[in-house]
Amino acid sequence: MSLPEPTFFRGREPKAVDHSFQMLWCIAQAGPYGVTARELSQRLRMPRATTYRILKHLIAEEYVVRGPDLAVLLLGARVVEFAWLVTEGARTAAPELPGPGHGGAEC
Amino acid sequence: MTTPSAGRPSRRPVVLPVASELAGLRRRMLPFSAALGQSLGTSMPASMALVTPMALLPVAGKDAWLSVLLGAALMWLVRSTVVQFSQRLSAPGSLFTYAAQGRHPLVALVVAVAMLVAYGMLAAWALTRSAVQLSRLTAPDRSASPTHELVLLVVIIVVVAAGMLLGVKVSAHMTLVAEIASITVLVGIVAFSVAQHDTAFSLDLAAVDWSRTLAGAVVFVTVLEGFEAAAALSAETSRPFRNVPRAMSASLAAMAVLCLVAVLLGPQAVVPRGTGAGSSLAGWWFPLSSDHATADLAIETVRLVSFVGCALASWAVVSRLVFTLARAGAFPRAWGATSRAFRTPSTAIVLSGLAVASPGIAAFTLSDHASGISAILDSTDSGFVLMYGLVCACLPGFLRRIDEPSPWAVLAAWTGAAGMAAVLVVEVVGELRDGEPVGLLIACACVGLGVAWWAVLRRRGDLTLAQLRINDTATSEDVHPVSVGR
Repeated sequence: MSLPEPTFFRGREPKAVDHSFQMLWCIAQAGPYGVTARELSQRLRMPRATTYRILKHLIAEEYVVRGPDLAVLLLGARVVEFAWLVTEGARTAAPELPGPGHGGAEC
Repeated sequence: MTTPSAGRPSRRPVVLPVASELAGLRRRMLPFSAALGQSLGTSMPASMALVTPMALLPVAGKDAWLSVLLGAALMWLVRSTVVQFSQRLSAPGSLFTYAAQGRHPLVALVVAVAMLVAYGMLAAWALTRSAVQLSRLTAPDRSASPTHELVLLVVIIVVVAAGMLLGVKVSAHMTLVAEIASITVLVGIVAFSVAQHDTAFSLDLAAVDWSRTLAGAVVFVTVLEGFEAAAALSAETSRPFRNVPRAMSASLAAMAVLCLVAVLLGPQAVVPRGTGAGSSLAGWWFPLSSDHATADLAIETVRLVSFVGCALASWAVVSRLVFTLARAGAFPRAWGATSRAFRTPSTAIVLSGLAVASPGIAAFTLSDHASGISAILDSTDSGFVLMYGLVCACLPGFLRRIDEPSPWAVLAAWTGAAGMAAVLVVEVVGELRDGEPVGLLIACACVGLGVAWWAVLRRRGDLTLAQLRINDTATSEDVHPVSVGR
């Protein structure tokens, strides 16, 4: 599994980070049904322009992919890589850590 | 945290294919550098920067720099529209697929014809010019015979075809190396030229002749054509939704900056027109130098390398378009076959190679073959302008279809479409005044052939819009298991 390439991040966009995680959470919850950009914007009460901008970044980095009709958004395979790194790292470092299910976005 | 069922839509679960409809290509492995090489290859920044002062200064005069800025601004609008598509879909059919996503199949087929003509003729011209340049450089007295040039043309075609058949990584990196080498020599030429002359350019906006400046901007728009060629390799590029738009933007920015530098710092900016040595490029760039032979060698080498890179890149665009059209059912499906060993669209490369080689070979059979080669290049402009304009007009429909309306993107798209229409009109009017309406004939031929193609496919009954929208959609491997119900 290849490591992700570093991207330019100034650390001055905390809201964008929050929004990104909320979006990923929302798309994950939609499961195989997926979710459209408009639905994301409405559910997370975010301006459409902000939704599109963050989505473009998440799609460019392959955390999110578009379905065959290009409207529906699904969770990308890059999330699997991320999850694999997290679970493997956690298992190695601290096997007694609690499992998933703590916190999450309102969606 | 809400329950997973909250807000669940009424639609059915998304079903993803196991393999891409474009299976057979080496999918998503090219780095950003290769995508950049592809776009730079068709744009030929170094070669174009060398000739832009020659082409622009007689039209726009002292305000040529303003023409460069205006032309670049219009093409940046077109780029912003093309990028809207390339951030959402990965399609080797590039502008044809973008048009199919946004409008009627008829428009998509007109764009396909315009692409085949524009990029096909560009590849033919680049191959032919490569042969002429190589012939000039290798002939002892720099004078070439048509037979010598024809032999070299065949050699270049074989080398370029081998590069393309061996794999897109080989051909894209050949293009990138060619462009980096030619840009490096260009920078040296500009630095030498600046060192030779007392450079003092004026950026005064007080006495701008707007009619000449706008005419210059129209000329400069045609210089910037081909920046979006990276889209043709989007299925083969890693992280296509990031790398392809960046390659387009970087290529267009590089072209604009290099041409601006050439116009501002080129010797014609400080040396009155007419003091150069005739019409040779060395005479324009080094009017005060007596050693034109060395200058000529440097310039002709830059151009040779640029032309080979352009031939590779534009032939790659045509081959991927033929491959896409075959997979979509608009061409015989056998043309969409790929090489198992190299995972390239081998049949499409060979067929498009035959098509792009023909005009060059035909030009060498003419008694005045220089005019024939020049006519090949002249025939590309209206095709490019037509397809850019149509694709800009397709964006609003596409954004509406996927329910992602964006007023600014739509405004930029319509402005770009209007700008391209204006450029086409100005070109056609100019051609009619000169009595050589090549651009008008090419534009009409593209529309006519597109309509005829659509009518034939429609009568056959095997054409659907969904088929024409073929692109490298996500497969079940590309998504998280939760998104395919695993």
